[in-house]
Amino acid sequence: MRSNQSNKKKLIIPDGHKPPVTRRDFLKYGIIPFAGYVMAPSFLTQILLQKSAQAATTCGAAGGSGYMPFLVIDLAGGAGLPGNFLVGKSGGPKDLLRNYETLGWDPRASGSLDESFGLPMAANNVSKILAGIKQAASAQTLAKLRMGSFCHFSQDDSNTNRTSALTLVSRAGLKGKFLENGIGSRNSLSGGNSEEPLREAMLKPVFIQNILDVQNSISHGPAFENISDRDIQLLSRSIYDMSAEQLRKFESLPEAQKLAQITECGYRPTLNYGKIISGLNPQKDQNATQVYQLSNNTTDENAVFSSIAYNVLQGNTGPGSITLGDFDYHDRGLDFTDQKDLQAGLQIGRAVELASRLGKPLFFQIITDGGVSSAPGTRNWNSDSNQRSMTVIGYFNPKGAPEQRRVQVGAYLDGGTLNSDVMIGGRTLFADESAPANVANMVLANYLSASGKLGEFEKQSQIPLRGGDLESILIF
Amino acid sequence: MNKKLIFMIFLIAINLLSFSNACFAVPATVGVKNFRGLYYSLAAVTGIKPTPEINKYFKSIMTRLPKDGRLDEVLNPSTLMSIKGLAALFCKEFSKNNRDLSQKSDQEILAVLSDRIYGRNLSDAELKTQLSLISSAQDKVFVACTSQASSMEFLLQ
Repeated sequence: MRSNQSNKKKLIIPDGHKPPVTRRDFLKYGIIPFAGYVMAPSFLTQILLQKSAQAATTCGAAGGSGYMPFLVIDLAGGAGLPGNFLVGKSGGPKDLLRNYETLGWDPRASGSLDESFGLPMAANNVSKILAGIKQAASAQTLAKLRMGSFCHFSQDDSNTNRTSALTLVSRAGLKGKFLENGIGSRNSLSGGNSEEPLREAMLKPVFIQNILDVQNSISHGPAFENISDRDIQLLSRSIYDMSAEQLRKFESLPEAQKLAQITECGYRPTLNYGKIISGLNPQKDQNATQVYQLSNNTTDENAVFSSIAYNVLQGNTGPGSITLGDFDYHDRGLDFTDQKDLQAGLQIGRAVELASRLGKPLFFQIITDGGVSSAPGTRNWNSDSNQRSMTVIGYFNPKGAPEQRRVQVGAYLDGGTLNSDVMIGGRTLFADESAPANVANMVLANYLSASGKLGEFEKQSQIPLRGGDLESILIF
Repeated sequence: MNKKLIFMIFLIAINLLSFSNACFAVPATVGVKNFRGLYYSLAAVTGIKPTPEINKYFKSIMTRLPKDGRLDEVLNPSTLMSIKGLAALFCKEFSKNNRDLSQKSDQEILAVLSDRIYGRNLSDAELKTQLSLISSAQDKVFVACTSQASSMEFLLQ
């Protein structure tokens, strides 16, 4: 049964238009019922304006609503991830290997496991990634973070591993309010060091080298340099009003609703923009400034990463990618490798802590190219090892710790190398050069699942995983 | 003889093709000008040969402009701001090259511009909006031109 309220006709007056005063205004808004032929256009206009108002409420959809922020953390060079995150046999990480001698730590030692995030990490200050995460984020924040892993092959010291899920996530629907595409700290199709399985120039992330690059890429252009904010706003108002007026000419077209959306989601948000658009510079945000300890420097790595994390979390852009270099760190000594791992941990922790302070969820993917092996029984990484690679995913939910179905997909062997025989759907998806792309698609499945959109996976993915096979690769 | 026959068959085929196109053509849907279309249309309506400044800006924003001409491609503020930025550069040059136009009355300026940009007169509501915009503007031609060339009707095709 419809309520009386719903029977009432809604009068929607576009912003900047006067409330109806004259007879003409009343006719325009369809308040005065008149002869049919006069009423028809008014009625259509009314519908269109209602659609326009509805469109305003769904602008978020165009801005990626429903898809949580996504960040790739790319450790270029082949980090020793299994020296930080526990890998195990087919029963999961705690199905321990016979020995971890070449993986840089002994998970059987007393108190060696930190299971705070689901996927066990090397405790006792062995894992500097863990130390960095805990240093940058509060215990309260970290209680709502969970991580899981994919054990897989990837090529050593190469950007050809198609491990980054960034463009897959972009295509799936994560679009920014200002920049639809993602952003990245490397000028590549993935925005990072490692490549992406979906190579589409139109999805190329915007290259960010300066904390102000996002702000600068959304500007009115050089013609407005000497024009005041007030005059820019008057011009924007005029363009919006003109477009709203012109909309009426197209009200009978099937695309009328889309045109109304353009007016409300495209033109309308610009009404208050001056020369500089607020909300794009992390230096102006107290939380970002504190978490990233920002100074006036606009180009150092930390400043650039803060801009990427901040704008991704705020939904200003699509997904983000930050690349930390120099992870080809074998034979560089423990001090150096620890310092690099700590740097990675700090960046992960800062992104999660900022998400927490902004009250946003964050899904991230830690990737690397290849891996390393250590001199037996030590943490001295002494060679590359593409059989000791892995990808880690993390999900921070500000509402509470995410549930996990499992914490490891794929497996290692007793000898401390990848188990190439793990099969899903009758295929070995983790073993050869196609493994990184397969894993990127699995990351997409987990991202969609965490976003409540797993049903989209079949349409968006590049590997045929359905039913039990799909379930078997879900961590979240 | 053979050549004549082939020619006849060719003509019949052309006619049949034209006929089938006319009969079964899908009604054109509304789209937007793509990046190239916007650039050349702005050059055409303003009569401005793109300057190095225009080309530099166009190159910097090209990937943010519509590629395929789908309406979805302009459904975000950054694309529309880039279009506005490009239109403004053409309009700045237009204003510079048409100083005599700025001496005319506001109504006349608007009439000239709407004829160039939309190929029609402004509606009463549009005229009201435009008059209110340019009444206090320093460079009336630039402001009115940018406003008209950035609004929805100019974008559509």
